Amino acid sequence: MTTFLKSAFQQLNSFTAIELFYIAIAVFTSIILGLISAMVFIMLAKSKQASRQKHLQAQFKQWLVSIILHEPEDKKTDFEIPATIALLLQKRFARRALLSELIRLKDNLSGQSGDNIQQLFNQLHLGNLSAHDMRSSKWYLKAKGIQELAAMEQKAYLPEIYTLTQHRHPVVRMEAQTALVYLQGYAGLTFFRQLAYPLTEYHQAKLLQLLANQPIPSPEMVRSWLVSPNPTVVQFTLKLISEQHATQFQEDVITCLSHPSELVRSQAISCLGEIPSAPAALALRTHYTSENSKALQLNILSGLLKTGTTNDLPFLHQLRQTPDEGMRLAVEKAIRHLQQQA
Amino acid sequence: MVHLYNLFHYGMLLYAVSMLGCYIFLSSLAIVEAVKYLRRSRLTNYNLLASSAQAPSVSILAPAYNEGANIIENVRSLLSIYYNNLELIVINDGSKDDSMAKLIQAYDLEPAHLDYAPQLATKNVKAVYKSTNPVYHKLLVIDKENGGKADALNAGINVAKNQYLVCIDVDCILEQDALLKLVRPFMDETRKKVIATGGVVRIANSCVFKNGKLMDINLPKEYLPRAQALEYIRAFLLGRMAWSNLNGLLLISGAFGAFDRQVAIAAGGYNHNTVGEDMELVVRMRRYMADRNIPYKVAFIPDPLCWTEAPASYQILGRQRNRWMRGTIETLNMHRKLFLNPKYGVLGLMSYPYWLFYELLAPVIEFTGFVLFLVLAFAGLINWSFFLVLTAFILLFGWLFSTFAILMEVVTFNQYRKPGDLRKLIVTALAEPFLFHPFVVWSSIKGIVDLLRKKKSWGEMTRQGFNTVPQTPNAST
Repeated sequence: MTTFLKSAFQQLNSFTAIELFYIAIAVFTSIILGLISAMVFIMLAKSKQASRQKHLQAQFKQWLVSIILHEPEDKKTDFEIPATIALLLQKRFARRALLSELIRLKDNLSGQSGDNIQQLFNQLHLGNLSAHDMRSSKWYLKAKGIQELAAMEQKAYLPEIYTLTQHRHPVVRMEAQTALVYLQGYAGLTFFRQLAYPLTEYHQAKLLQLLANQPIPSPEMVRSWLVSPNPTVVQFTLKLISEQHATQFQEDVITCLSHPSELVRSQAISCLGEIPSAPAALALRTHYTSENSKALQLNILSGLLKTGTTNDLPFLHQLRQTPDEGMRLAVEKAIRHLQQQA
Repeated sequence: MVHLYNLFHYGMLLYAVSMLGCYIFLSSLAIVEAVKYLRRSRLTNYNLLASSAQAPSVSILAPAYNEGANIIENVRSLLSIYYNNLELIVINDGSKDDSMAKLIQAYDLEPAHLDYAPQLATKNVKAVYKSTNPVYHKLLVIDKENGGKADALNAGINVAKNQYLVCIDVDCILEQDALLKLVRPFMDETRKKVIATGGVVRIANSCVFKNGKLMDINLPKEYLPRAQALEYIRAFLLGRMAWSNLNGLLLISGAFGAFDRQVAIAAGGYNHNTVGEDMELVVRMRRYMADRNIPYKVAFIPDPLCWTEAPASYQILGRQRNRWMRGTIETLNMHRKLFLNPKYGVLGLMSYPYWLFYELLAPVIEFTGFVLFLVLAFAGLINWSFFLVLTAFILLFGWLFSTFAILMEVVTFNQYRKPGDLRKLIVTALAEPFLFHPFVVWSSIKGIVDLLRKKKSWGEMTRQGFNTVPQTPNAST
């Protein structure tokens, strides 16, 4: 044992020669100094960039205000670009700064002011910068480029944006899909036909917000989404039906109660709660017994709160015997609610 | 004796080098994760969630014990959070002061009958209050017998009806968009279930607040809170970001974290038998998912979302670190089955061993090393030139890690950008191994001793209160 330890320590000794530590100390010290220099450099660069940005914004301000307030007699007339601004815009960073400013303004303005901003964007061919970003190999530039082109309603780029709706990077495809819907409304949802990736909850919320004030144009289109092999497309469609209180799809929603995906069944239950009717309540009651998930059974009871009538009371009274306390409370709540309604 | 010395010498060296390797590995992962998050975040408009009916519903749980001095302002701050689909549940955990009376009066509370089936055992709930004033319709106050933080949170979970729970310390100040950012990860995953998310907690000492909102960020003026500010930057921006990248997070700060309500209940809620209930719940929820082979994720947001007051005295800091150490040991002991268990993947093979060797054992090894050093020094067995070089090596690595953390802060969120802040942070880092770290090690050792003596106390945490500017008239509602 002693011999083994001796030889082990001798071996270790060769790796832990004091000279190695001197080298390590020198390396660490150099790295620390390098990091501190980098820190100072970055702080200075950030501060310089911020002041340059501020300076540019101040230079653009008056000019952009006049453009926002401009009431054109002829839409085809270009805006006048002051010589100082024209000179400034020859520099790439100034064009980038103006592009960001225009995007920010466009997000907050509508009507003529928004149109003016868009016209200026077109006049200065800033779409080329965004398109350049969209064609970059870096996902975050691609996504940014798509966002800018959509914000400025650059429909000429739609075919190119469409090809990115199936991009492997989730952010890129989300931006491309959002852009299509932003620019084309329901027609932009054509990518649903071949959507290989799931839609995240966040993305669904984004798309629903864009479609919030637009009535569903074609029942056939919605019905085709409800039988999509992609469960998240079905889930999105059910949310859309709920938000629009589209009662004409009630039968289709009821069919979704037997969907193999729990996600879809859960959404269908919520959806039926939003489009109250006797068939909806009956469907929920019937589905209750065949549903294995306790969470979904609770959802059904919440749904009956919204959609049920006194006709549902006998069914609910039967459920009072359930041993599950949480379920029993939900049943009692539903009974009380329906009795009060009566 | 020589072999003993060599064992000590090489053992310490091996430990230091392996720790160094871990830190370098984690730092690289943290960079990747932070860059990815920032790029993504720049493309996101969080306001969408504020107005969307599709935003997930959230219940904020804020346990309070003897918080009478600031409870009204703290609740007002929480009620002003920018999120629509929200309920705020304040749990008065048997306070001995006038917290409850103040809440009843300030928010027009009246006892309410709630239909709920308690799914977690708690001390007796005396009453649940709701406000008669529609302005405070989001507020619910639970008045219960004292049972500790875990018990109070469980009482809140029983009453909560929303999809996600956000557990916070009532005296924390949240950024206005904190919830919007915190719930986003729950909506971003399709292949894995996100069971919890955590956000960065920052030190509020010396910052200025008005009407419960952060107005001005300052680096703490006192040394101890400043050292903790640096420690939090290291822990959150490097440590947790890296573990988030690996999906190996074991801890979401008790001061601010979000959980899936159903999973939290199914896993059994907060454990009353540990003072590290925040870490224990995360570990148990992870085990719950892993045992059922359900793909899951614990996410982390590097944005500074929550501001909390750090202990400014050695006495309070000592109590806090003592408790943290006891909580860590209790949690690791309760879940020792995870250790190097391949069934639990990253959790068993990486996270648990890391916490065991570099969080739990680090103070023990450091302390033992120091004692052995004294013994060997008295025995005349120290090779002083080698000792000094080794000490310099370890000190420099510590400084290197802190400097890197400060650089990450500058590159990412750059919260401390006032003239002199950078210099003060670097000086704080240089002084840390002499003024801060030895005390933390000592407090941890005391924590171990207290645990062996079966001491279970939480340790009183006295707060100094935030710097505030006068309230705007009529801004209270």
